[in-house]
Amino acid sequence: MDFSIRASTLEDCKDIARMILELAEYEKVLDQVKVTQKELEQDGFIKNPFFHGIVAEVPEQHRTKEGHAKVGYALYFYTYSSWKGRALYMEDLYVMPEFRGKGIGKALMSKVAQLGLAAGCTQLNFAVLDWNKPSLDFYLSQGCFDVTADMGYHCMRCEGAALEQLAQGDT
Amino acid sequence: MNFKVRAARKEDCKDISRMIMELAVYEKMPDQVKISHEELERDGFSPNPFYECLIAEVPDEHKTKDGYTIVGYVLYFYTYSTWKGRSVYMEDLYVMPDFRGKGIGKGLMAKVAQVGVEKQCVRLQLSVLDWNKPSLDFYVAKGAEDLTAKEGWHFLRFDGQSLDTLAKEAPKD
Repeated sequence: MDFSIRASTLEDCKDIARMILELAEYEKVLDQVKVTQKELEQDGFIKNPFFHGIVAEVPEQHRTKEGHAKVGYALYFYTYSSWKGRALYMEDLYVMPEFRGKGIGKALMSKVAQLGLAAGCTQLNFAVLDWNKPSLDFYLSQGCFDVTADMGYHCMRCEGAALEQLAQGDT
Repeated sequence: MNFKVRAARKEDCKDISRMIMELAVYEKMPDQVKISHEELERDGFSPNPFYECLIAEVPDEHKTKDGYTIVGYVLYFYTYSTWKGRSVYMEDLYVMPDFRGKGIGKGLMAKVAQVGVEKQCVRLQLSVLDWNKPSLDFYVAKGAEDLTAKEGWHFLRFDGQSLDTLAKEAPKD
């Protein structure tokens, strides 16, 4: 199946928001999504954007029954390793179920890697849930390694009241 | 002990580089450090910086025997959660051993949280090595949750050859 990959524009935020919800549903956390189309527009298209996006589009004859031509996306941002320098983090990679198995996910991920290398990055990092075997298998088959399993790094987070208290110096 | 937390300046990169190496030694991976103060200067002080950094400074009378007054740092950058929005990631938090237990680490981390909250960030994230109990305890005491243990999140990475190979397979524009 023919498809094209391009940088996302402001107009794509509606479809990206739609697909973010589809991905959250797959990850069983639909109620967790608070980001809206408007926030994506605000945060992705300012002078120092918080993220960058690429979308996968299919020709008109392959649109979904609801009429969607944008069938996948990857959302990423630049990060920094104090040991290795510039790096990339891929926050989301998603392809609508009926468009899987056609190389679209791989193409999106490869494009992110290419953009990262062009910007001088030496790492592409991302996170996967340990029960998500299809995704883990896909990523490992592409040659990445599991930093948590191999090196012992755990992801930690402060949010909500804990973050507020920390910011106020109250902990 | 009196200390001050302030935004790092380009001239501080030599001290930051020194402390990055000290932290890598503590984490038992000094051979992994590939960047120097030059990359820090280039990447942290451009119009669209890759990171921000705060340093902790003590007055002259408390300087180390090697003459350092910059005794801690925190290096962080902004990230994005497609579920929750703007977030901040704390890449490094370090205080020289002789200056621990005086509230400097907490001061640096609280300042990052404050900066993040001012920018409407809703999360502060970081990672810790599973054997690093003092640090794990410190962060949990500050209200951090271990998402790897609690929710099963794993970090995955492409670098070196695997990253080059992946990039070569990108579709032509």
